[in-house]
Amino acid sequence: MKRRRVLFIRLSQFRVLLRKALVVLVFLSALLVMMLSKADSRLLNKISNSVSGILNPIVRVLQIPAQIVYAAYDGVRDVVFVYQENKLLKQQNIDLLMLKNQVRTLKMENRLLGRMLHYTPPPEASFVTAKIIAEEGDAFSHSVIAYTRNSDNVKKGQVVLGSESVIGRVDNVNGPYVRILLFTDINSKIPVLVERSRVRGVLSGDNTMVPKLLFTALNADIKEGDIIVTSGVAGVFPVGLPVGVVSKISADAIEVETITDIERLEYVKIVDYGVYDGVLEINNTLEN
Amino acid sequence: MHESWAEIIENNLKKVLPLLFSTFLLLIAYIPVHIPLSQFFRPDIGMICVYFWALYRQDLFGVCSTLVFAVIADSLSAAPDGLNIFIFIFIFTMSVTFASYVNTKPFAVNWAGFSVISLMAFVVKWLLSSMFYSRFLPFGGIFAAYAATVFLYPLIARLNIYIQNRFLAGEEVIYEQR
Repeated sequence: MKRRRVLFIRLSQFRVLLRKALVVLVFLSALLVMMLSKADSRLLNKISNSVSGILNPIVRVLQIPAQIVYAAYDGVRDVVFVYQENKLLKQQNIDLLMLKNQVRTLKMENRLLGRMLHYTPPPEASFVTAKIIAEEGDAFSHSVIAYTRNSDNVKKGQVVLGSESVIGRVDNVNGPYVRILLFTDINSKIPVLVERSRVRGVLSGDNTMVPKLLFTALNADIKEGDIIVTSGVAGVFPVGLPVGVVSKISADAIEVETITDIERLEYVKIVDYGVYDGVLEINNTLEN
Repeated sequence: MHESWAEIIENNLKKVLPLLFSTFLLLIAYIPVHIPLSQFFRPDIGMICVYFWALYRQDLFGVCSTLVFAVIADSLSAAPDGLNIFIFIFIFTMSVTFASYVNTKPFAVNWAGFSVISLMAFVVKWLLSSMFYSRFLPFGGIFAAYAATVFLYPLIARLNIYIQNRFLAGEEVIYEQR
């Protein structure tokens, strides 16, 4: 009798096949998600916000013991370096007192000139202080997550200042948790100018600790040690905020070192200059 | 014989313990450390966890657990969404493929296996990110992150081994030859 060929698949083989199909599907979905992420999908942002909304409070609790250890370490370090720091602070105090007198004179002069020209000053900036609870910095992205109780006035795009200078901008607000995109991140582009020579350019992060100054002329008057400040172009950042110092000039790039030590950030100021609201309004009008 | 509620909860907790512990380690990695160059030498704890659990407890840390873990990592990171999903599934697939060769060998072989698979994963991650941003990311930072990840592997693996032996030893399965 001729045997009939039967094609069948065992359950275990079927499971293996199903698992392989699932893996391929996940790979494809990951690529799709990346493409949607490039298009800044609202659905993705919503999912991401929901997950981080659950995780951020846990991170905040987890960092408490670490914070105690750092506080103890800082205490010991302060005691060891107290003499040196005291000497430095005395000198700084003398310099600041001189500067204070100069500022007072200039302020008076500015007020008089403003009155003569009928100049209307811009609205005062308001700010909230936020505590850094998580940091993410590797070769792929540079950001931190901060916690603030007064997050009602915090909006995407607002300027974030460290102790001495700009450190980035608000990328995402999720309840009291704010994701801050550092200006060393590859997504960060800040219109800047060289304070001394007023040469304009764009400070571009590249996920290293030294962002690069781009779009400057080859013969531009830029020297090592020059201070880089925001230019106010594009309306996101106000004019004149310090960002960094030119640390190296080579044939390929102009490297800028951060003024604030972003590896030791504990508290930051999220400042509302009211500049970005106008930009948002224009964007919304254009979108509509 | 009916299981009591406590037993049901305990059994279900055991099933998600690798995922929960990996998430815990991932969150720990986000705590600010205030150490110079910490932004440069930041290990990828997620890669270590996915490799370890896919190698030893594929029954508890399958594709779905890897996917959930990757979504968590993606939501915490400012890197492009989907990047961690791709990389973690890549590591999962590689680990599962080589599990039968590696998981009976000494720890040094396991570590060497991780150094090779993570190198591939970092290169893929670098390529995908470079494509996403339409420019090549500096390779120095990638290499530093890779070195830190491989260097930290024994410590994270020991913690995972402790969890495995302390809470999940009774659930151990024998891997079939693939």
